[in-house]
Amino acid sequence: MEAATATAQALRLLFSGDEELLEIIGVSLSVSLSALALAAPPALFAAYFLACRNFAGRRALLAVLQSLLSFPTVAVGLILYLLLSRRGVLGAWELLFTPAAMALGQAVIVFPILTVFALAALQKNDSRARETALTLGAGSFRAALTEIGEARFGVIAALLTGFGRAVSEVGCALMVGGNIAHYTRNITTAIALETGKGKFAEGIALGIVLVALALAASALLSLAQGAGRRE
Amino acid sequence: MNNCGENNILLFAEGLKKSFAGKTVLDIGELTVRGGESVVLSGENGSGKTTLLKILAGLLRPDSARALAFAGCERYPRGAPHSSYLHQSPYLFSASVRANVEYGLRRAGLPGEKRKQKAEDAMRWAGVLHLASARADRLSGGEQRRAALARIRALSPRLCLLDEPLAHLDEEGIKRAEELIPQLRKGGCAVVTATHKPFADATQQWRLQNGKLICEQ
Repeated sequence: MEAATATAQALRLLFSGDEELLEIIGVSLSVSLSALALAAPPALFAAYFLACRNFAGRRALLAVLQSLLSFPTVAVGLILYLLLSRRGVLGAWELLFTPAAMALGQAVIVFPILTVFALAALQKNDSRARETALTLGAGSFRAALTEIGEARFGVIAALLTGFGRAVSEVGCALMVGGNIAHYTRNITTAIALETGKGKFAEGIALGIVLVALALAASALLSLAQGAGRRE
Repeated sequence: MNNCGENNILLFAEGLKKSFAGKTVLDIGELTVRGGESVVLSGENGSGKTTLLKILAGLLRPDSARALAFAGCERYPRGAPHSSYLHQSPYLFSASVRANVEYGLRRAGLPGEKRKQKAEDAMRWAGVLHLASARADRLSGGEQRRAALARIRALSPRLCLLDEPLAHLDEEGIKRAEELIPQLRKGGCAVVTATHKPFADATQQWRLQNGKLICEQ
């Protein structure tokens, strides 16, 4: 009964356009999208490099990347905390407890996801794609972009999976963001806080938003996969 | 020796060698292609025709070559400019036919209107203008071949390297391709065609046998 009342309150909160709620959602979206923008270029480059080149240590590197897929986000948060703290190697950047630190942490978390998923998509590419691009006058960099474009549905799937992981992680955001109200408080850290305080309605409202975001990413993923299927 | 630039020589190679897994695939003494020529390259399956064409297109590096030069370039450039290579089964980017035909023109930096006009001329020439908006990778084999020829034609290359352009086509497809390929030579473009079929307008016949190139004028 208590859960039903809390859910009704949560829905009222959501539809009333509560400012604090919107602010928290805004922090989540901006941090996770920044993380994606930060991680995507190097991850795509790494995926392309791994897909096209055979070099000593490639398999070991792949094994490391695959094991990083399940690396605990709280461990990433801990490492980043130590690096960004005042006495840490990156202490001079003064990023600890800022949205930038949260974005950096999430970028680290999504990098292996983007790389491994994009690599899987690029490995399915036809080798004729690169040759065709080169013989039509593309330089090496342009040919690489064309190849990534040919694998675009797989790359979009990688980006959506990465976004889903970033927006739903809590460990790293809590450690390097500090859950500061009106600054670094995002959906997941707010849920943890509100639930801890016994304010279930706020927690459920934010949970609904998080699930909606995850479902939206999933739906887009299905669309991308459907569009990429050859007839 | 570099004969390029003399006597309208477009492509010159000497002492070309290529091996795969210790097996010599190509061991060619010398070959020359002049502007406007039609060269027919024949040889049994696995004789190295595709390997030779890819080396001439700058897509594969030979193990050694005393000389390999294209139109005066001292060193044959990778993905050579002004030469186009057509795979035995052409690859069309997963985009519209128009985008495919415009791809090379964009790389060449042609402005919008001129690019559109050139692409339309090439598509009309190949009989695929009505398919301009269609997804290129969903066309039939014959249509894909013609779209790929239009993509080459739009670039007005100086050298076309065609790998079995008549393979896997029905009679109608072969007839249409046979009409289009000689037209690529208009304007001084040289065409090297790997094929099992005789070409009436050939100026040189190359035959690959045990890695050696036997040339007949």
